[in-house]
Amino acid sequence: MSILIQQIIIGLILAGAVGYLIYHLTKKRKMKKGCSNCPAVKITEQKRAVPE
Amino acid sequence: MHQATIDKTAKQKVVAICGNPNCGKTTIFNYITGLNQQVGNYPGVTVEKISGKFSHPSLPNQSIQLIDIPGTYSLSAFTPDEFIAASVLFGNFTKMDKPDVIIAIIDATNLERSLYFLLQVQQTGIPVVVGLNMSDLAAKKKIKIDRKKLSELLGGMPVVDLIGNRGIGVDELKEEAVHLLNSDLRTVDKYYSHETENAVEELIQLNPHEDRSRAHLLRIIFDAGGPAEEQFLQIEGEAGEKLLAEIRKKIIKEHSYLTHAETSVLTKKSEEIFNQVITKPDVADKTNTEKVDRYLLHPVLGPIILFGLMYFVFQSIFSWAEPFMGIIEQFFGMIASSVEGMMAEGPLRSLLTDGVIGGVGGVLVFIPQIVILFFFIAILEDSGYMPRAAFLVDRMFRWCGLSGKSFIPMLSSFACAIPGIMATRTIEDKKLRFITIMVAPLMTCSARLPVYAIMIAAFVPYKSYFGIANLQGLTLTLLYLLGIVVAVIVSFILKKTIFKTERGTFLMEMPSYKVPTAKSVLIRVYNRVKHFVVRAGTVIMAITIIIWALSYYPHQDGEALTAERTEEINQTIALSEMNIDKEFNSLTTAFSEAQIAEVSRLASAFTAVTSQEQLSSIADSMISLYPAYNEVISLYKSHEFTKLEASQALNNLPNEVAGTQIRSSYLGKAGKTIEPFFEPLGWDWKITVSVLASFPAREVIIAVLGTIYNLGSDIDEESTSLIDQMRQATWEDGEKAGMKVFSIPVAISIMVFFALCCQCGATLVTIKQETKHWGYPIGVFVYMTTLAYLGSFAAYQILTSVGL
Repeated sequence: MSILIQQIIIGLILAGAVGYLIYHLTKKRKMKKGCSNCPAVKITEQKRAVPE
Repeated sequence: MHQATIDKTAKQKVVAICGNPNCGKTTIFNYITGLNQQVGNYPGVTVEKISGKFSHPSLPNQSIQLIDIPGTYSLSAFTPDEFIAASVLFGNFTKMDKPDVIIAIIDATNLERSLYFLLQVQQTGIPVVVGLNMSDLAAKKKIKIDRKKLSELLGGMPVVDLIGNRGIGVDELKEEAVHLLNSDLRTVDKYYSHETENAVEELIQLNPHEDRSRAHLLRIIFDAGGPAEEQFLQIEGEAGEKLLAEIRKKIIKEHSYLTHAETSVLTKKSEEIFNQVITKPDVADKTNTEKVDRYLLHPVLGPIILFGLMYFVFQSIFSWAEPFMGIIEQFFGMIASSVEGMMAEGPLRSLLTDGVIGGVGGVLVFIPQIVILFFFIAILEDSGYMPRAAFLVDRMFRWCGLSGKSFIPMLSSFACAIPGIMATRTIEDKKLRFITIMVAPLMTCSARLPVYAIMIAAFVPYKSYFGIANLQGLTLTLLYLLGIVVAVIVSFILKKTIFKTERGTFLMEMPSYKVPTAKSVLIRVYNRVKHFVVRAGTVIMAITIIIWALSYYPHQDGEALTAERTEEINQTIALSEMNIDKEFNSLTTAFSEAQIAEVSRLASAFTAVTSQEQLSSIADSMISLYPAYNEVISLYKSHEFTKLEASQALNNLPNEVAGTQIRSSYLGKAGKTIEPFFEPLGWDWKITVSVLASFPAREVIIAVLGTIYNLGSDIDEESTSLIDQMRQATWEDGEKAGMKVFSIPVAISIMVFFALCCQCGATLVTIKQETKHWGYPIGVFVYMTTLAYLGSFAAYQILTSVGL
């Protein structure tokens, strides 16, 4: 494989890595059911808003 | 489906049903109204306000509205939804009619705790009927409640026995409620202290036209910063604010804390009533949970057991994980070798071997430690010990005024700060919630474990003390404690400065102990390992790839560098040989042939020399035996010295070239620029850039160190394990050139930095999401980074000054 092709592949991988990192740091996180069995998380999971 | 609309006819009577979470209230609501509503198993399942209707022959042509009030342990309200629920009971929720009767459902197996809530409900002044639910379970536990006496002590409130899940007693409860609708039985009793009663009176006098129930006024007084106060201040303005401050000051003077004026009175009264109405089995019949709790929650034994458990878990991490880590290390070594065998040398091969395998593989080596840690955490959680640990920690740190409510999210942060920060939503007091959010990242999350593990394994000796205490396990225990202690201190400071707030009431349900099931433990361990592996394969790999690129480019040609340097070395040798011929002739002009032959014979002894030390020793002995040949021997010594150096330089050439390449990379140049700022912490540029690169995610330091050491070293070294490479690393230049980079103070300095620093981008983003303001994550980042730098600096300087 020529160095040029290798550089292109690396460039694409690098762009993907930077893109993923930005996505990871900015994505909106939601409480996942079962992400922890801590009682506090359970309480939070179960809390629902009061309708007006 | 439930009927959410309220028919506001003049005739319609309203009954509210309330109680503690999990008391079976919703089941009884369903029985009465006929609505089919799901009954959940967790506290807070009915935060939604749900209403239904029922009729009774004594009130023909009328439907009675029944409102299901969210389950709560107390009427204290700090969030808007809790305030709406409480306001319905106070009768001042504008969108609804005031309840005519309240049905208070009480868990008969947990009467004492339920009484606290009941006494608060009593303060509403609305007629109350008490339903003693789960009376079958109470009977099974041999708990007998004197209903008549209870009713009497509660000012005549009707008390009904219920078995909610079978509908037993529900008709009687309905009868009593309807009966109260037609009567006017008000049972307000004034249990509160003199100061509180005066405060209630003063608030009534402030605005006699405002129809506020006694329960509502108590919330204004006690729920500092809550919605009741907010609403009160909106109506009463400055005069109200001044009066409220005055009356609270008086109460605090008498009770030390504002909330104590309520909790102590109600707890005492609950105890009094409880002791008069209950017949419980003897101590011998106590449940197993109670028996175990006598030791595990003991004021002295409890913390000792907690500390012992922590120590055992951390010690196991080191003792049990090592063989498995070796297997994983070998596995990645094999992959790297096969990739090297398959691909020609070039950037892509370097990315795969030095970056991905060296970096991500280095992190995955810690899977056994994660498995062991979460195996124990799963057992402790499933057995019911974790809430008790929170209780013990709360008791230990109560002196500084930190609420136990903060400890549950903080406990959750030991796995990961993100669910911990989200769990702070259960903290009603806004200020306390923000304090908890700001200190939760100080808890030792699982991402810190690999960092601690590698530093401890490499630099803390496996020494035993008194046969049990091992230095490695002890160091890890102390690092976990460091997080807790600093979190407590920071909370205390925040509480006294930026977020001035009262210590809230901490009511927590202690579940019964149970034997953890293998399935549940395995699922939890599997989930955590999955999380760790996914993280290594995503975010850590992404950062590793970026770091590899920064430390690989701009790439200097290795072959050209080697050729250039070889040429330089060869020239040095040639020059030395030229000089020795010339100087030998000038020094030996006066020597006889026999002397020259003797000197040459002596010089030939130098050719077998392999080290500088050996060379010096032979030269010194020769000079002492043949002082006349001093100058000539010194000349040979100097020449051989140059030759030895050149030969060593040639042997070390691959390392030197790799070092030159990484130093001239973008990362190397940046690292060298900022190195002086981190030198007081004992760090060289490689540690500095590795730590800085781990700000998005802390485990990255291992991957980055792996990548840097792989790129910056000869691949033919005896051992390629990161620990060995770290142990061998030396300072490249400056005063410490040639000295070992890593030592115990440096390792401790790095670990202290990681213990105190917020190196997790996802946590900072979550803080912003939860607080809706960028100021908080910025504040957390600044204070934690400053704390980490200062802590690390102090640790390094102190440890080096004591000679470690």
